[in-house]
Amino acid sequence: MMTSCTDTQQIEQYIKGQLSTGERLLFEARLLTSATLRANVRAQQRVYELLRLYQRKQVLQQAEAVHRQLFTDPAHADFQRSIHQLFH
Amino acid sequence: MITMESVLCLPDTTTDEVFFEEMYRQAFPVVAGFVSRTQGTFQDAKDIFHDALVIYLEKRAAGTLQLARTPEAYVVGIAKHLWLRAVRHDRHALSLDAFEAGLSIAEHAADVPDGKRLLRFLEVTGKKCMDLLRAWYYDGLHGKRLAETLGYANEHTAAVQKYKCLEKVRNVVKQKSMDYDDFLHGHTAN
Repeated sequence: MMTSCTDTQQIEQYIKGQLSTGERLLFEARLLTSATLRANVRAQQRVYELLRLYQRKQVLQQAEAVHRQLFTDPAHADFQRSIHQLFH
Repeated sequence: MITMESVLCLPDTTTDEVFFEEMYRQAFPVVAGFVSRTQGTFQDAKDIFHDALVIYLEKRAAGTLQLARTPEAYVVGIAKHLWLRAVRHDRHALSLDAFEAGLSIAEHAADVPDGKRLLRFLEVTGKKCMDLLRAWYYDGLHGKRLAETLGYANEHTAAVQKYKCLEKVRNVVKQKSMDYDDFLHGHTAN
């Protein structure tokens, strides 16, 4: 498990371009010989893309919730009026 | 609001309700102003504003914001850019994915094959890890703050947990893409 945890960290540094030249060359040599490592790099790259989708989804949900609140709650009537009059 | 079962939903995360409300108060009226002056609708203003918020927060996470501008001015700037592009092109084809490339926000398109389905699966089976990782990469919760937020003894434990989560989610991704390959293979064999 220890090995795999440091692998995860090293894959992250490799993907994000944070390895030194020497470390990168060593890592790329390992990539050539290990199909497992190659599969892990591919999968980890996908994890970052999924996290980006997740972040995006959450931001849109939060923005939607605040929007709904600001434009339905009578407490914000002045704000609502000031925006709506722009579109008349 | 979004319900997060874990302790991650703390008021000190900078993408909380206060952040969005402040943005709405300061930046949305400006955005609504220029959208309305160019014959856009209220819905257009809302869509463009939300896309601008997404892009702003991605840029902030990537550390590519120019510090001289306030967050509000930034969001207004991005929204204006998106809107001008939308007006110049087809307004109805307006979408974040279509326009972000021009803003050079993304290093590569976030078109994860089958991403939405996989994300839904992860939201059910690995929500805690997804929340931890999202907080790490996008809210900039690192080290001591992450440890405090998540209730870990120290920074080291929090960092170990981060890599454990990364590995866990990666294994799900691997397993799922294998299933998918099997599925495709099964079909081509028939």
